[in-house]
Amino acid sequence: MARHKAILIAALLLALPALGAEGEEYLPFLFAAFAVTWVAFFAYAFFITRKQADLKQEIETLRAMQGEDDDA
Amino acid sequence: MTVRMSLLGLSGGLMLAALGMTFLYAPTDAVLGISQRIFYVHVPLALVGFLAFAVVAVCSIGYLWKGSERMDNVAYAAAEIGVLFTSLMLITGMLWAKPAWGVWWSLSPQLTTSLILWFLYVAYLMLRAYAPPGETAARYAAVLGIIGFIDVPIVYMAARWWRDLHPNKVLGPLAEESALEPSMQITFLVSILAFTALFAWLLAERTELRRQETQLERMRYTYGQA
Repeated sequence: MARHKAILIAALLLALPALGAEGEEYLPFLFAAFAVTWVAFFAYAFFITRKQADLKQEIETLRAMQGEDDDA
Repeated sequence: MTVRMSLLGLSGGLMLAALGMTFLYAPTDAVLGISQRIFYVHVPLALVGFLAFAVVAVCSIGYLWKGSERMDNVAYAAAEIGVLFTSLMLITGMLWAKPAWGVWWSLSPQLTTSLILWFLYVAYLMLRAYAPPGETAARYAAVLGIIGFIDVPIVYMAARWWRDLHPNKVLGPLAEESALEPSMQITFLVSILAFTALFAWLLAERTELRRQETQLERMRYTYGQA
């Protein structure tokens, strides 16, 4: 995750000189549009994968508890 | 390597290509300047958002027809991701509108119908979140998912049917051949592919999470009964 963020930031920094001076006053809008999009996607992907891991563990715990009850 | 891992790799690679092309290959627009580069994220977000709602509608029809839980899970996942894409489309649209039009928001038909689309699918998610789990809630949500999709062609056609600030279409039946120059067109197509791959990966992951949620719900119920 951190590596992806670093790649994205590096790409943006590398690209800034290539953009030229034309319309430079709009740079914050461009930066904000890309930043908001990527932060939202990384946050959503993080939320999904984290919750998947939590639920997997909970399902395994419940299975084990049911198995113990069946044995008893 | 699983399908989900392959999709993640594909979307990551395409996203890096799209970012590189957006900033290093596509030329700066002569009229709008560098703010025009927002186009390469704003329009693909809108189009993939439409695709997500099409998936909701198709899977909702499938659920009502066959009663398949898998269809319902995919519809739910697609609705959530569609709302994410549409929210980002509205935000990036506002960030582009300010430098291009001088205002953050205008009550133009395309913006208004897009906002209605967003509200419709937020209502879908609220229905899923607050209705008691079970077939009734899934059926109501499926009906809302199908009705909501009616707004998608309206959003697309809004600029033609009514006076609107949005420029000419660059994709679909209303697209004009000269709307974009070739290098911009290629960058745009790579961006669309990248966002579509990202959508496919997110859909696979969210559907799996939804499957886990329903499985856990069932296990808790069974364990509680025993």
